[in-house]
Amino acid sequence: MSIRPTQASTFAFVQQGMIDNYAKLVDAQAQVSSGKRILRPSDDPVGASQALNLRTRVDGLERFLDAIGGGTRELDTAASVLQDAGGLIAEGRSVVLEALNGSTSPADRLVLATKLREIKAQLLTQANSAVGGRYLFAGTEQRADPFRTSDVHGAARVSYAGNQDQQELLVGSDLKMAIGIPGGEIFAAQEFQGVRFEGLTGASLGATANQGRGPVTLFVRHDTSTLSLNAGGAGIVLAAGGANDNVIGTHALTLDPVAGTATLGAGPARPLPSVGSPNYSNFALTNDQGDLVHLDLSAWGGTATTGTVVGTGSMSLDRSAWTPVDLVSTDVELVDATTNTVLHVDVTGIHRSGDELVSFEGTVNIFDALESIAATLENQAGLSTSEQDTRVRLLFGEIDRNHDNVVAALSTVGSRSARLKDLEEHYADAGIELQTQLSRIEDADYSQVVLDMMRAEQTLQATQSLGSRLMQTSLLNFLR
Amino acid sequence: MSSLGLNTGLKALLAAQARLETIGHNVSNATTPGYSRQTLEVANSGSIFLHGVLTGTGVEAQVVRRTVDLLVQARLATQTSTVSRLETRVSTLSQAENLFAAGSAGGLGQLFKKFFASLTSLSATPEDKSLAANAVSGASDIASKFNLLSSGAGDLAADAVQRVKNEVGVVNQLAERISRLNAQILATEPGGAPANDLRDQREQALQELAQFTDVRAVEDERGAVRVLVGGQSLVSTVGFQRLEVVTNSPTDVSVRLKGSNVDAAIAGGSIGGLLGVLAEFLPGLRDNADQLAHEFILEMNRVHSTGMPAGGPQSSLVGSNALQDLDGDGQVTDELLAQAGLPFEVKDGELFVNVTHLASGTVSKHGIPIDAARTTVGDLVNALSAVPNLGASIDGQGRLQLQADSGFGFDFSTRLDTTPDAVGSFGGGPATLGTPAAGPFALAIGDTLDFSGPLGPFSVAFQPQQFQSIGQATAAEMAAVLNADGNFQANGLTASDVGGALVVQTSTGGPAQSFTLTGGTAVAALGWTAGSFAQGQNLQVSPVISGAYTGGANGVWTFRPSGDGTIGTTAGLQVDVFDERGARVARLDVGAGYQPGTELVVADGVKVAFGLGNLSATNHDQFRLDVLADSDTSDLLPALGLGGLFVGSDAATIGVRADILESPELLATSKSGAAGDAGNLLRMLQLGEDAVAGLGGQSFTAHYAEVSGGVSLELASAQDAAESESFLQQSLAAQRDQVSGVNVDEELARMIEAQQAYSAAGEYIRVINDLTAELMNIL
Repeated sequence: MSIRPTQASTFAFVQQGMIDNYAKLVDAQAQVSSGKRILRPSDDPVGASQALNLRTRVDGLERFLDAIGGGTRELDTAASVLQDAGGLIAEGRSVVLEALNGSTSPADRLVLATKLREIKAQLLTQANSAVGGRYLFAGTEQRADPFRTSDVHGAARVSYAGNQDQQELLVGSDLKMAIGIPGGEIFAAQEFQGVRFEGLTGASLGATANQGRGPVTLFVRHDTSTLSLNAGGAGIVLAAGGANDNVIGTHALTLDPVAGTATLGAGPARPLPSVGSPNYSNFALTNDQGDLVHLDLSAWGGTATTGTVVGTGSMSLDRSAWTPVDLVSTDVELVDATTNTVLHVDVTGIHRSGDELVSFEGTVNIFDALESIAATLENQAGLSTSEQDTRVRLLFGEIDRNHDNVVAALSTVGSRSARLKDLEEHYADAGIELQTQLSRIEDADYSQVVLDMMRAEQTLQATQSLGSRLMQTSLLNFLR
Repeated sequence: MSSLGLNTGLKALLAAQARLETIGHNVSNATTPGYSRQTLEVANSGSIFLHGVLTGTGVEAQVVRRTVDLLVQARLATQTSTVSRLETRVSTLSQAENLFAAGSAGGLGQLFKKFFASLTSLSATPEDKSLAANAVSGASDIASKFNLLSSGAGDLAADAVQRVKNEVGVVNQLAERISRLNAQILATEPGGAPANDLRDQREQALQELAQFTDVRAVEDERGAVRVLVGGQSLVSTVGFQRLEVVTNSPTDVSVRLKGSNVDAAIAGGSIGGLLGVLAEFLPGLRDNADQLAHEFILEMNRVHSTGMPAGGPQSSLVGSNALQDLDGDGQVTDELLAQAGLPFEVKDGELFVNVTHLASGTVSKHGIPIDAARTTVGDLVNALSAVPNLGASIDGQGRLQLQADSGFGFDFSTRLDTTPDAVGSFGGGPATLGTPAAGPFALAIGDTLDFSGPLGPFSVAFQPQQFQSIGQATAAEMAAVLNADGNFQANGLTASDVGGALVVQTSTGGPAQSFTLTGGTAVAALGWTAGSFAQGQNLQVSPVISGAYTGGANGVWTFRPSGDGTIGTTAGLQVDVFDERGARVARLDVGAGYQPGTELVVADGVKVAFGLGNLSATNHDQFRLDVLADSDTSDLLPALGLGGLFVGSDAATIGVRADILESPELLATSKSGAAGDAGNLLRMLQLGEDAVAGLGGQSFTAHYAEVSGGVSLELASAQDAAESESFLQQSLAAQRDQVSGVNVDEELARMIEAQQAYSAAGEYIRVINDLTAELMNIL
């Protein structure tokens, strides 16, 4: 301290002391009112930069939590839609089983077909569902409906127009998670198992591989019939020139007036119509395999006769380009350019015309399966009950397969949802931890600050009191 | 009685009076800054011989001397310079800290956060237009903030320059004053008495000068003071010089004596502080902001330009960075790309552009090689224009313009070409004969190829003028020669270059189409066998590529069948996939058991599906697929400012591309081209986390935190230094005051002493007077 204090130095000293203490008081006040220990980064640069780092990490977590929130919403919606869809498919399955139950009448079947069409329409709506303007099951192709209906050779077919990409979200540092499941994998998965022919016309699979998907119709048409009987059959001609027949290939024909039966091929003997009945000039002779020939017996002499009826036909996939059935080729190639289908047919077994359902098994989507079964039940083609059943059974497996896919998708969605929830919890915990650290660095410790403030106030008061006394002492007070 | 007694008394009286005057001067100047207390020095005025006795003659006032400690004063001046310099530094750094405001709501760190958060929201629904607008406005905020940082740093520098100018003016005034005081002191002091008050004033002026600059004051033997500022003589014994400010640039000034061409090295005082801040801190601040902006633009644009907007490929783009005509010949097309004044570096590499036919969705992919040492601007424009359905040009301002033909769009993404077999050279409908390997082929002059087509046999010869070098004939050159040949065309044949291999085909498909390679001297060079027969088919394999390439480096894959056969039918039929070095990437089973149309995984996320058709290894069926990890390895797109999100190259020029600001749906969110794909957004988000090479391996937010943290650290250390130096200054001031200050109590006590001396002297005179009167009375 000064050995020789002067007025000027004393005043300066007292003044500085008061300013310093006042500043400390103001500082403490600022800390209390803002709650922060670090008001400007220069107050504690090291702490401030640590706080900034922690803040950055907290921000990162917030971003990830945001993304997870969005993803969870979408997954939950998808889960509920898939649940509904699974229920609808199960309902469809039971309707089909009911139809296969032997005791349904055509009228009943019509009702069931209508039901199936309703279920299909509802499923289509579900598959095309959108949340907030975004299709749930379109992959990343968001410009239009993922499942679209179009007319393929007279039948309504649904195709998947989305893509296979999964929408991803960034839910962690360098951690991407797929959120959506492409609709193609759920409702139209392609798990090829083989090509199966319904068996209606006798056409079967050729040797070369085939290309196509879903249910495909092979149109086999009857062109001409030629009758050749032995002497006893003189006078028998084909009714309507064979226009209403469906036989293809050589079929044996036997008429036995004695037993009163006629037999076509290996089929059961059918009773001959009585002379004079209207059927006599238009006798529809069938066998167990559905082959049909119409005979005009009016000029027949009633003698037993045997012979053959030979039918020719052609086949096509699109009803515009017809390939003749030559009954010897085992690998005829048919191409449908509009659907990009290539089918190789072994024609040696064809015995009748008809619309043959060919199924690329494992590639039929649920909508096409339901549609095809409904069309079968409506029976525009006039098939027998057993033929209808065969057709329905051909596609029944596809319903189960699609149902399994929906259930699998549901479980994938569920596990993704669970994973996101785990991440969310983890981030929430980490966030709390970071916030605690941040608070420890940044926030003012109230008890400490209040103590500091009180101490600064006391020191200020003492300084002021002492200063005023110092400044008042002067010799002048004592001189008279 | 002699007059000695009266004289003595008179002298005592006068001395006491003089002392009182000095005391009065001290008391009245007790609070005058810079005043040094003065003391009257009195001495015994000697003795004379009187009446044989050595008698004293009383007191004599000699000189009024001021009490100073020169050393303390000099140290105080130095300390004042130091404190002033530090306080100036603190003030500027404090403003800079405000500018950066790292933690506050409007700070750049917060804006980065908001931008990346908006990208996250957008990534969930990339087609949402309002979220896209939000993201674009976040980017715009960042750009504005950078502009503000840049202009703010500029403003700080301009302020500092102005202050330097102002303070140099004050220094000049002080120099004049000191010089004037010098002259006055020199004029007064030879009279014998020290010019105390003038010296005090001069000392005060020097202390004031020390606030502005570092001062060295040396007093010569005559009493004038020489003042050295920054090593240069400001005030000399005969006069003074003026300082002037030399402006090297709006933010770079130096101070020197007028008429000198050497800068004064002013290192202390507020001028020294300002010059120091102008020289290293503020440019460093600006450089940091510029570097951060530069890297941000580069990285963001790299990702953005290789993505696609949700709305699909773009039909036109204009670059934002102008190519400059550096050699001044009026043409910009002869400039090397790497040396055309572009703000970002162009490296060796390749640029891939996809051209999409919008109606059908068919995509063609084209690679343009870039050689930093050879490719000129003109080369680039020609190469881009050579891409079918694309046109490139340089506009009047030197910017590259790309325009797709009507009905087409282009993009630079890494998405795979979904239909890579453009000509049907892999199990396609036409009759096909391909070469087993890619060119160049070693042809000799006059080599021929002999064919037999529907119209009969014919031969095509190859001449040197049709090739750049006939010994290195490329497939493209050979195809051009064949396609121009009349016989070749007449027989319905066409030739093409499939990834460097020559492929000869019939122009239509079907089993009726066929031709034979009967012979020719070029057959061996091409790796063909004479007598090869090719026939077309009804079916087409039409390979379809799907998925996304996840490998790390660009490559070219070649697909070749291992034998002849039909897809899905022939037992053991396989397709081999080779990379550009000839190593086999995958072997795909496409024989019996493979369902045509099913996807097979090749490698690295790439999938392929083959349709039903016949493949021929004998005729070297093949197709090539470009697999890209980076479609712009030369960084050409950010250099040209083509298709980026930001324009500009540093903190002052950064902005958001005008057409994106207007139509936020042009934001390149998609990586695969699908509207709902957020792949490119995810890449941008990952940028926010990744280490950036140009920032020393830190992420953007981390680097920004470091820069602003650096400012705060400097400020804090400057504040600490200022505080401790200021404390030292106060104690020096107290020391000076101790020596030279006036203590009023002390003066009052002395005043009483002088008063008593005066009274005593008066009393003595009265006694002498009485004695004299006594004597008079006696006489």
